[in-house]
Amino acid sequence: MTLIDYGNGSPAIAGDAWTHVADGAVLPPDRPATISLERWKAGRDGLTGRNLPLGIRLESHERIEEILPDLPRFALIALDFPNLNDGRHFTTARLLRERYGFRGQLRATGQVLRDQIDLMKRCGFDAFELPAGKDAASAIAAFGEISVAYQPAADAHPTAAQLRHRQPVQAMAS
Amino acid sequence: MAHLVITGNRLRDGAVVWRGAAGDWSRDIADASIHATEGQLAASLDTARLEEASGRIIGVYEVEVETRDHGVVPARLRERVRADGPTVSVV
Amino acid sequence: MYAYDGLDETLVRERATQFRGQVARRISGELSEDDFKPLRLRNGLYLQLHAYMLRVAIPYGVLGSDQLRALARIARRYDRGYGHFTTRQNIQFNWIRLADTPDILDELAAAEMHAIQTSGNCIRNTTTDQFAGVAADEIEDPRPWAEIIRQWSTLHPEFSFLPRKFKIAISGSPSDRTAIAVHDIGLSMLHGPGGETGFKVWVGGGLGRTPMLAEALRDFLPGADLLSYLEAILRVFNIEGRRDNLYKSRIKILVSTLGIDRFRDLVEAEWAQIRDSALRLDEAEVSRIRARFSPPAYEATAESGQFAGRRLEDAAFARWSAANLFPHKQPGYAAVTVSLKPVGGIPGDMAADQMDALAGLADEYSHGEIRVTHRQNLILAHVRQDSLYDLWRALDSLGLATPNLMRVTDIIACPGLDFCGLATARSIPVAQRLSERLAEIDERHDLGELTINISGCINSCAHHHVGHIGILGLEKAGAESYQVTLGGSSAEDASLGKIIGRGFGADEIVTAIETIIVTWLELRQDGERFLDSLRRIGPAPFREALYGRE
Repeated sequence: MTLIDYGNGSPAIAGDAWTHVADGAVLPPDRPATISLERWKAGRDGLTGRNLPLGIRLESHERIEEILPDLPRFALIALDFPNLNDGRHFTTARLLRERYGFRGQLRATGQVLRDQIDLMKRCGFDAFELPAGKDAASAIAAFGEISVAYQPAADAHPTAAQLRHRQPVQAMAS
Repeated sequence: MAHLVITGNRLRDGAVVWRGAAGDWSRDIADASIHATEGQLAASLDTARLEEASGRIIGVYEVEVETRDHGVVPARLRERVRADGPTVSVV
Repeated sequence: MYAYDGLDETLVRERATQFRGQVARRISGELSEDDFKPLRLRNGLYLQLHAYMLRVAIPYGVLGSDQLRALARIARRYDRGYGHFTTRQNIQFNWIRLADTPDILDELAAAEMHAIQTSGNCIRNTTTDQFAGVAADEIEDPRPWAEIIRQWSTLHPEFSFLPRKFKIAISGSPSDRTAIAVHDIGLSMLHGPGGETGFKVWVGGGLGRTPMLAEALRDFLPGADLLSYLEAILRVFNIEGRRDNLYKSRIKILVSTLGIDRFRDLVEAEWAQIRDSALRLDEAEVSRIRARFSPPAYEATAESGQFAGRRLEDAAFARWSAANLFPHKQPGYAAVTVSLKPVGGIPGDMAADQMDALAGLADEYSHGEIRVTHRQNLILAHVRQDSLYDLWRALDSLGLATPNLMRVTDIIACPGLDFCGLATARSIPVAQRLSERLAEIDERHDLGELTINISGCINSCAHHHVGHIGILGLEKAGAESYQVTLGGSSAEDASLGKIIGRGFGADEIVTAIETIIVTWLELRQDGERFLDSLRRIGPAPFREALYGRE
């Protein structure tokens, strides 16, 4: 797995400080860790004492709305894409950024395909776990392949309509 | 067992091809190698699927054929259309 | 018509370049077929029985003459010299090589065209009335709104991987020529309480394995809220739509499972959150797009006496005029349907030479504009009445003047088992034989409006459920079997046809349809339409004629 970090607005291969911890496994004492939604719901009381950042993982059928009041506890949310056809988390990502105000890392995991990255980025993802064997350089080249956006989304990209009707900056009349 | 041949489409142009005895792929079903036993078919399919994985041929599968006076004819209409082209003449 | 600005052009060119890269990665082996297939489908490239098929988008069915020439060039250079117009106002090329597709897309981009989202589980080409801007009963020209939807839906970051494909139709007239009732979303324009124009919104129509008519979702939606409301519907569908079963993944299944009221609650709740967002349409942008669709410079010509005279002199011209002309809101003009249904021909097919010639006729007679209809015909929308005779003669010499719009030989047919990888039976030969057999009966008895739709599999690309007579080709015990439905309509009186009985073999189906029509002629009153007779008398006489008293 290679991690591509887009947190500062330009994609780069990054080291991963995080560990995805399987249900039932012990959380590392010295590293930030993610847990499943199920585990959070089952045992949140045992997890609140940790001083290290905590992240949560959602499978494609899971809804973030179940734990909205808990969002501030998480520094990272990992949304899983089991295959190219399951696009539910494109919506989850936009809602997290645009409606629920999540500002931590939003990471795409699972079958993250080079050809979906541009769209994921527009929906608010800022980190991408490339599956083993996928070419990271090719994935980085995918950022910005399409430079025109017709729709408003979770990124700051101006839409075509906004660009068309942007008022020229005029000096204030004195 | 019914007689079977192996078919697929060429990656670059999508053309229908049939697998010959030497592992070659021909546009003509007459060149197809006919398998009369499960063992023969399984071996050929295994090799054909390896070629599929290498990317030159796509969608490999077996087709039931009948041998008639004028040659090999697929049992299903769909495969006869694939072998002979559309049944209608185009503009 | 809409012309690209720099942004539109950049997007289409970048998308073509992106696809070139995807094809290169496939050919080099970097992408497996499993990984590539969804990518090529999202760009309209299918693997069919004999070759790849490329479906090119014709947004809301409007083409400039140079675009039609570009399609002719592609047909000659990369295909076998022809193309096939579809029921969703697009065009398909049947004999495409994968390795050529990047060059084809570049040529399309140069003509302001593309194949974006002509397939795949995303928002497809928005279709509209072929008489948009022409029909006298129109509330507003729907094309600017269709273009607004085209832009919004193109490479939508959130809705590119939906549970299933998604089709939107929009009509500006109370007379529905867009089959609103069988679309995932149907929009019909109307005046709101304050006189402003907006939309009635329908949802959950569709054909295929489980045909359903759409239900009314909202009685009035202001124009400025169009995109936020569409986004709310799509968002609910993206989250709630089924992904575990291909056959239950269309929005119609979600709507019928939840019930329209519950579905509406979800949409309205979502809409309340985003109504006042950047999705609200800016009047400046609506005006910019609307200006692209301003009417052509009509000449102030009175109703032409010459037109009336020619009809009296020439019976063939009179017959064509009666069948293929549509009244134009501009006095002295008519909209002409160019039939792609010659008797015995392949419905919707057009040769490259015909495309070039028609492009010339469009320049000469109709302000350089051509439209594609969901009946697989073409339209020259703005022809002076005193030019109609010359145009007719030119069309006739090209084989494009069959006088059969909405008549029994104006058959809608999918490519069927002759080309399509999904088909279970052939459509085209049935259409050919039927039109040959029925042309003569129509000539003798003037059958009036009678639509026949032939689909080669349950996916229903030819919309057989909404043909007055529908034919569905299946494979039964290794042979083609054709199931007949009666009583469908896709107009404002939309209805789904009902199966009349057991299916017919390939050698029986033409006679079966003839039997239905002959039976009807004996029961027909006062020149009524087949559909109206059927609604009056029911299916029993037809069943008895076909199967006897079983």
